[in-house]
Amino acid sequence: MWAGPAMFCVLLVPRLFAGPQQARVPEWVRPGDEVSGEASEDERVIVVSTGTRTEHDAATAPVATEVITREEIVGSGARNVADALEESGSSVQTSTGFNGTSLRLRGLDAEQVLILVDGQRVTGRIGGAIDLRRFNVENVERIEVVQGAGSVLYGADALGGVVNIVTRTPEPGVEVEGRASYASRTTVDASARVAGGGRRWGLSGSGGYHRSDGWDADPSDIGTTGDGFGSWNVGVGARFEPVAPLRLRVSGDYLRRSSSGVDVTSSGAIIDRRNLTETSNTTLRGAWRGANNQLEVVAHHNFFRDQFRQDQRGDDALDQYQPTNDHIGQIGVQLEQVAGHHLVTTGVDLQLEWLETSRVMDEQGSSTIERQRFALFAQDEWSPGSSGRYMLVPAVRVDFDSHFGTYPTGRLALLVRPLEQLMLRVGYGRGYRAPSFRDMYLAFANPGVGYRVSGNPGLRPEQAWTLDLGATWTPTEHLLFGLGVFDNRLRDLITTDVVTQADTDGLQVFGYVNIGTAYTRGVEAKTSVEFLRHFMVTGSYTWLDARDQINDLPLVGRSRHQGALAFEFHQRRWGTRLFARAAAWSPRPYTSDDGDASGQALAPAYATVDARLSQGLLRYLTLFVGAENLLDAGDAEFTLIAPRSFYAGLSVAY
Amino acid sequence: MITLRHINNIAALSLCVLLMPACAEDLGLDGDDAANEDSGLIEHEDQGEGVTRTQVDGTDEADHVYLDLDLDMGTETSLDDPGWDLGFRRYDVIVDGGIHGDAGVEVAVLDGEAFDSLLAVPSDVQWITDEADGDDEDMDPDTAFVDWYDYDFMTHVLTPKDRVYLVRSSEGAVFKLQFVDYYSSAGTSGFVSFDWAALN
Repeated sequence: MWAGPAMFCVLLVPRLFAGPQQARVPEWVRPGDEVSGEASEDERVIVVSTGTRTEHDAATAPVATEVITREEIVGSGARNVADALEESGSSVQTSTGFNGTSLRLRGLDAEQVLILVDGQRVTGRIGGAIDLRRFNVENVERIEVVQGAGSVLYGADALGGVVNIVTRTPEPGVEVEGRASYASRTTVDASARVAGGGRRWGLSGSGGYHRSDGWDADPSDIGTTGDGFGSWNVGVGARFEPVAPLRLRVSGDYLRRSSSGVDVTSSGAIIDRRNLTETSNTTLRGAWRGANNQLEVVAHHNFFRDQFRQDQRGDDALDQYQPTNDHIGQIGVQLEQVAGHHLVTTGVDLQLEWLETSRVMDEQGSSTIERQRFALFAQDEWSPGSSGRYMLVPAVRVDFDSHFGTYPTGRLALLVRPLEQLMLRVGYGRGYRAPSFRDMYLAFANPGVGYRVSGNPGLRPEQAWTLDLGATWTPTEHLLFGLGVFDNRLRDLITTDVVTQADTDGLQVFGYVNIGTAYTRGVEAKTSVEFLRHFMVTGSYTWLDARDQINDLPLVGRSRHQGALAFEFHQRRWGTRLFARAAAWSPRPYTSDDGDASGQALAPAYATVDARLSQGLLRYLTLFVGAENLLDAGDAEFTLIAPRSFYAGLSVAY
Repeated sequence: MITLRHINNIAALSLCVLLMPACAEDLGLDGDDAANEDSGLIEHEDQGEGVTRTQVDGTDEADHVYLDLDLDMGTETSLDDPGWDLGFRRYDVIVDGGIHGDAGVEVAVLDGEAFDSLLAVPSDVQWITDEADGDDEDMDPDTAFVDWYDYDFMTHVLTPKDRVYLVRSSEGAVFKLQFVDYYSSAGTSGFVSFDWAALN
């Protein structure tokens, strides 16, 4: 799958070939402005909001925002957000493990990336990562990715970046969409969405069913590599505008996913493992749009329930059942005011979270942990002069956390457009990741081999200072060059260390401590060229230097070089679209007893190739066929990629 | 025209969505693979030529399982019974001697000896027993079997060293002993397996 041209713009400009006319778009979309629906396709503005919490044309937003649009999601054949991100920008790296599919931004781990749905954080991290496969795309309008520290707007966990999944709003008229496909490994994907409404109201309903067999990259044992799964989801949404300035929106969704696999432990135990995961989101949103201001109030509840069961064959000693219930409730109030050349945004965020799981235990011996957060933030988007060629965006935020107290963050972003075709951006900010409940209260013992791991309630947040420099040059409407440099300095990283050689039971005790120091820095380059009207070629490359400064070793799992090359043929009149994409990663270090003197070895380089062909029929129908991982890359130890597969399907859109 | 009644219905539907997670079945545990409760904590298997392979279920985190080598094929006994020779609790193996007992059980470490070819007690062995923690890095007692295994910090797996021990029992008999495994056939830790045979 290929996310399409928008992911080119590491430094912005999602509509690659809209050309210089994008420069005519205002620097920000003023409150009350209509930004979609009426313009022609070539002139339509792609609105993003994640980088500043205010709406901007993606091409001219002061904070670089990568966008995967609805069109690209559909065109790529993505079934879930993990699919859509999988082959997007070169600095976005997805990986599959026991905790699902997570992503890494610019060498920073999944737990240092904040995942939002419609600007609201989602919960349910397993091993620190949100499984991106649990977000199906039938009701997703676009996915926005902002790299670098975003804590100044979103608080904790936006240390390395923010991924915001924006859902679809029912628009006037009737929309009926459906999609069904069948693929290797008995993979079935079926989804549908129905929406309708008038000028002042709209309703939508969506749902999907997905399943696939597991896969095994190492047939020499009974263990499996990729989990089989089955899931279904439903969602409803409504839009109501009783009077012109007032917009109300309510939405809810529910997903149930069951996955299973077989593990073989180092001691030879065979484990049948299963996760039954449920998530629900309920959001109430109201906005009052005046001529020069907007007030928005959002109430959101996200519930994550995971039942983890492992069943040892031939014994019960390693059997485990761990139900986890994780709630998060959020209330946000945000005011945007235009004053001269300033768009000032101020707001309050309130967050309540409580987690119940047998894996944690607080000082009172309770397995239910609570956390409250309260935050104030302010941001000024200042566009001095009348030329519209500069924008300066300072922002500050203070979080009050019930566990570690007050935490201030800040960011300064600068956009300069010296030429119509040239966009320069600078951003410098501070981000942090709050210690997770696991970090603070984990209670895990493995007496069979003599150790236990204990949480540390006294942990401080991990922090990072991130610097981004970027330039985008579009000398013609068919040509784009992008170049970016980033530097992330991380402090107080949370890691495990030996706390006690022997406790009262004789067990060695490991605990979490704030001792890690690291950096990730690199260069990103992207280019694209459109030719002969229907053809497009894109290329990207990332050089990454990620280092653990405590041990003076490269951070494991990161490739120093990543590159991708994509080709697309899109004949709109015929309804034909063909694309192929190749991506390659250089060797990655990993910790090994068989490694060099530093204890590291290199996992081999690998490359993937995907291809897809779709053909429109009878106006409303589209047939598609495709192949993923044509080179059959991947193994059971380092590169957990599903084997080569083929698929075919049909979609309908009215 | 949308009315407040419609909004209420939508809110009610959203509430249903919110509460749906309670609907999923409870996976729980089935416990159908539990070991036979009637079987003992010690199992023997005759390996021929006087060699016995013994597996001790030492998974109990609190109490040792005690073994008397002098009885026929080794017999499970208790701390209160005089004459036990070896005690097993997870990876901790103790003897009825030194700080752990008065029966005078001793151990000799024979690195480089082959278990099968060892038919008599060598003349120059050095006998040791369980002692209190000495001047070392850890705070554990310095038992005779303190380092019978290698520990892999990456995988947390214990692997017996390729080493033969001699055990002089509470009744003065000498046995050769070699640890074989720390895991049951199902992969559960705490099941110490070892081959042993009496020496003349």
